[in-house]
Amino acid sequence: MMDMIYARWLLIKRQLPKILLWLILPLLFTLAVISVFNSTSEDFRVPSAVVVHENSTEADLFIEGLNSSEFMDVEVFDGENSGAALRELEQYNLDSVFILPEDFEEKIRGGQRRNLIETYYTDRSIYYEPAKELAASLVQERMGEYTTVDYVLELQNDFLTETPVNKEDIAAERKRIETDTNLVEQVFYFLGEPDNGEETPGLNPWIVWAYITFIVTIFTFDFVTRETVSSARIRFNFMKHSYTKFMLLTFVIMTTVMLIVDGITYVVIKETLEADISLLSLFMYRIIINGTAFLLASFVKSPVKLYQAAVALTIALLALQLVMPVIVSLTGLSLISSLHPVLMFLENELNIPWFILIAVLMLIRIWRDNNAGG
Amino acid sequence: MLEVNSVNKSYGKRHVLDNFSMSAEQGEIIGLVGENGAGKSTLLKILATLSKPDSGALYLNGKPYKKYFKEHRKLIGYVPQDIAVWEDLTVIENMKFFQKLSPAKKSVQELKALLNNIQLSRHDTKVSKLSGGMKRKLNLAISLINDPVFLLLDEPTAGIDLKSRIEIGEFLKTHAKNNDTLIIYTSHDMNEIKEVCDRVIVIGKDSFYRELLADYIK
Repeated sequence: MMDMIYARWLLIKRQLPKILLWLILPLLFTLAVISVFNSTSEDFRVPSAVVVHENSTEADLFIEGLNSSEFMDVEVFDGENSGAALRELEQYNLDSVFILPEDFEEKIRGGQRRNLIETYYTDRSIYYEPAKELAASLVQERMGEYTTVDYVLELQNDFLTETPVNKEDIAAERKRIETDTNLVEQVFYFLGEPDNGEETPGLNPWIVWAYITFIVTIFTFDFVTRETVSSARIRFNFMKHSYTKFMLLTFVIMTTVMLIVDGITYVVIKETLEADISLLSLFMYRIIINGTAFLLASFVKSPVKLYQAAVALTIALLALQLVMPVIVSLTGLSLISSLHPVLMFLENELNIPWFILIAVLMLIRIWRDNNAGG
Repeated sequence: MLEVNSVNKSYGKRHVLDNFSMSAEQGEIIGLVGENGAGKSTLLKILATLSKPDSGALYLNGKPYKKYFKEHRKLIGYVPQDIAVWEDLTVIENMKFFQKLSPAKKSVQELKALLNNIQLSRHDTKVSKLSGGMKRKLNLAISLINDPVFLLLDEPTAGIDLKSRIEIGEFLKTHAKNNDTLIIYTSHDMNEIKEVCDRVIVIGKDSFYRELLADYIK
């Protein structure tokens, strides 16, 4: 055993810098992608403007409502500078402009929604429609509140004069009911299963890691292709250890090293990006992709073909993941998604079918090599 | 020591070896000649246990190949036509690598001595930086790590300079004599065959090599 380990060390030591780079690349790439994605998500807000002709509570609430949305960045202009806001719009520095009239609060209180807000947009205003919908809903909400208050007060005056209720009480009660009953909360579903209600993450770091690890692992095993097609392989027929045995030991060593790196990756991603995954699922995923990479590297005739196969397989897996919901809905067989190794990993499941397949292929290869020659 | 009885080998419809028989004793150096495609390399691969004959029987030290091929491999040294070494490693690293996996145990000093015997002194040079002649010498040296009693060489001097060719030839003669090793090797160079070999076997039906051989014997 030690002889084989020493021999492997001799053969691989010159490739160590490259292999080490491949080993840490998935973690670095994942951290970089998530960092860029998060900063882009935070930065990507549609610039809009609100022109205010009066300083009123309703105007402030309207601006606050627009700003609280995830996609809008609202700039406030006073009435005298409405021209400046429109110029910004003409120069495409703003996506849309909302002009609140001088009697905005009065009209809200009075329920006069017709032509309440003047809006401007351009042929490049891609977020105008959702912004307009948001503005309309904010106005509707405020008007609804006033209508409710007026209606309840009217009822009180007519029937409940012994228990006086004021406007603030009614508004507060309306707010409490809205919060308690989650009137605006949406329940998300994924592949037929309801979400646990937690905040939906932007981009799961483990998806990024799973794909980059898949392709990089195949790249890492390119030395298997080089050694398998090398003329020197013929000499193993005269050695005390067969080439198959030597390469299986290599597989075990590489998998052990990669599992250690995966352990470090797990801790880093969990701590820095707060994304968890099942350790058993991570272990199984590593075994499966290493087995796939090893068999593929043993099968192809040149490293270039291995790289091509790696890219093609990664794209195929990614495409399959994207169309999986459609396939499942068309066929009604949610079991199909169980055949996708990355999906199974992300769903914290043990990928038994792929594990058995890889194990069988490995055994076939060992059996075939042991019976060669003579 | 070696006995080959009526060996046949075909690739599809093409007969490469047709009832080929021979025998050889320890210490002999036998040259195999014949035109390209006559079956020299095929015969060497069969003798090296790397390929199976379609029919016929082979014996090494009285033991049949069919049953004892794994045991025979420990006694055989095979020098393939391609340079079967790791290009990224140095000369001595190549020797260490194959020594570690070989059934025989040899110290680094013994490996260096083997290289020196074959006049390959650049132990710490990367193989990719060696000349063709040096690579051929290393190719041979690696095959000798397990002290084979039966050495098979497939065109061991192909494409190298005259000096290296002579050095390899001299080394093989000395090695066969000192170690009582049976050596069979192929070459297209009749001068080399004449210089090195005790006996020549012509493979194939082409008469060119038979006539050439007859001229040399005269």
